[in-house]
Amino acid sequence: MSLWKAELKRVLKTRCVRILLPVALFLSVLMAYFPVSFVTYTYLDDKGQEVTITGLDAIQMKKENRKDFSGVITPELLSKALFQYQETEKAYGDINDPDFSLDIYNQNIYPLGPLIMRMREVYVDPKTGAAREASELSSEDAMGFYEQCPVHLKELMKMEQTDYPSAQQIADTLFEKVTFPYEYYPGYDSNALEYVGLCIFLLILICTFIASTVFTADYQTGADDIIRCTRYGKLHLAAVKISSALLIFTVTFAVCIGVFTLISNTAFGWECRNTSLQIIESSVCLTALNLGQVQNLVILAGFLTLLSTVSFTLFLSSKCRSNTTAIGLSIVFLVAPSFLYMFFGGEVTKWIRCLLPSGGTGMSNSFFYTLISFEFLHLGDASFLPGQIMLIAAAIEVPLFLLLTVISYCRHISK
Amino acid sequence: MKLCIEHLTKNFQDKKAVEDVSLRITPGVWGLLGANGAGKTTLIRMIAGILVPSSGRITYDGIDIRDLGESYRSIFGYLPQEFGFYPEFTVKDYLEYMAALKGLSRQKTREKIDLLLDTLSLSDVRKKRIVKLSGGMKRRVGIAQALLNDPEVLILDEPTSGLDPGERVRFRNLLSEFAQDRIVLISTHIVSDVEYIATCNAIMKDGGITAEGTTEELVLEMKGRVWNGIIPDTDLLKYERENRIVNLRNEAGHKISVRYISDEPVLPCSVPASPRLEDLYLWLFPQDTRREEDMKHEFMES
Repeated sequence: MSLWKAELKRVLKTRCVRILLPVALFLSVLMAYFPVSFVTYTYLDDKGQEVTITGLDAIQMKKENRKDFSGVITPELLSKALFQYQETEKAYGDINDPDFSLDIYNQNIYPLGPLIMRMREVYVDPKTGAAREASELSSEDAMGFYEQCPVHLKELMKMEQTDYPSAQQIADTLFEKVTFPYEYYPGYDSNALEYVGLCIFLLILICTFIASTVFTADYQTGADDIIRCTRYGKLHLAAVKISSALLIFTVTFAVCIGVFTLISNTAFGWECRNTSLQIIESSVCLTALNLGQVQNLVILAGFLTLLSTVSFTLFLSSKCRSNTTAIGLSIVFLVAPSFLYMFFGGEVTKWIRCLLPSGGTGMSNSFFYTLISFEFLHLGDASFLPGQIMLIAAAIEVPLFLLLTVISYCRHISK
Repeated sequence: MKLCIEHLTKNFQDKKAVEDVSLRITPGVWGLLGANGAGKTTLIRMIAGILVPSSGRITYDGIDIRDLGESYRSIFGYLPQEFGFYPEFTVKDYLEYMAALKGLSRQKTREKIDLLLDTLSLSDVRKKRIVKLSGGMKRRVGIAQALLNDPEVLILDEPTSGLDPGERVRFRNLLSEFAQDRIVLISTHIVSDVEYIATCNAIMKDGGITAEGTTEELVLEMKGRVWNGIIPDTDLLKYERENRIVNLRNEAGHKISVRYISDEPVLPCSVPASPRLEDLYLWLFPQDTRREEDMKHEFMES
């Protein structure tokens, strides 16, 4: 226990940790603030001047504006929304016309926005994939929205996964678990969900940086020579170094993500967590969760990715002889999934992306995106959900790389 | 209590750093003498368990130190040639950290740190960061950490580098006192560090042990080979080129008193001198003597 405390004290005293941990907290606040600041709302004031508000005021205004079309989205409410939309178009003309009155838009169209969009989405032309105009939809279409959702999913999966009936089968099975009717609590911005992923990526980047020198710093300074000759300087110390590093990363992650979610959810409104993912992203999203559950799952997956990434980084640290090499390699492996996503395609690359320890995090390829995409991994005729593969791989990699780290540290021979 | 080195060899690719070394180290201060590159540090790192021998083994009380593992490390103290530490640590932080690694209780840690800081005159800098200390002070911190667990086997690689003459004397006395019923092995190329305190010496050259014994036994090898002579200062360069001169002293009347090593007297007015361990060292490592002489010349010329 005294060694554990001493190691914890040592790590927390290092300059790099003392700088990076506050930076992590600051970035979490910033990442939570950005999506709030992106929200804008434009209206006409008493003098007929256009006024654009942002941030919390805009969120409040949106909530107020859409309150009549929120809560449980029944077919009747969808029908009412469609009716109001079509009546407005009849009375005031094409809403896409640049001269369309902003006041009328805010009053009659803006509150219906998400509901109209979801209806248009499920009634696309199955042959061309083109969305139908809201003016072409009927009250019957609105009333049959929830029956149309699985039909649309089948059509979509036929297009997306033409050669893989197994993927189509999985999609159908997953969508059967989605509960109807959907719920919608206005105010939440889809950017906020993406920023959870971005915040996790930055936290993993910082933790990776810290983890990469846990062992190499001792090798590089020569401190390892003395330490290795002490009673607890081998297996015991390896275990202590690993556990204290993991504790620091866990606490950092918990505090930073805690602060992030507190700021984000308070700004957007905690009730928004009950909104169905399908209202925000796609009517036929395969993930049967609401926003709050998605947020929780993304955070848990992020934590698992953090553990697998730092476990791998600790292993690299136990292998490399210099801090520069360890930091360089760790960062390369951290960004490798994003790099592969941006510059390489193909089935093998997709598998590698998901299997890498940092597969669950990235700029545009994180675990969150697997929840809202219709992409599958394939092995022969079998299909797999990328998100599940990421989690399984990470769960295996954590103990594997930690064990390899201990072995590598104990067997390390200094020059 | 006995540390046995049995036919120890260490190869680095095609270079043999240590070759078939055997030593039976008993309690007391042992001096491991040798020029730079003789293989002392490699041998010591193998004794410390940091390097794995290519062949041969090291036993402590008959058991291979690799099999002893933690129990060997718990009675072991080590100060390497290059003392690595954590830059953010103060002296106290570092010693507490090392005490935890050595498995000392909180009470024992406090007592031991206070005692060692006092003994090694480090009390005033206990809250100072190690990185801010002078070379000698850093070395003393290194010595303190090696002594924290009262090791039965204490290995010190070039322990006095950076220490001033006063500190060297205090350090030698400390070790003499400490070495009662303990094995203390000091690797050095500074003969005076071990000459008067070592119960036994081993001299390493080209990876092997060339001589082993007490200072008196080893010095006996030099009997009849060390001379004192008087030469005119104008002939110094000539004599230096032809003889192995240990040291020089200016005398009155442009004369120089010279201590030199030779099988027979070759300088004018030569009389036999009592041999010392340093003479043996210079006899065994003539290259080092030459190098030191070159340095002496450069110094005199400047």
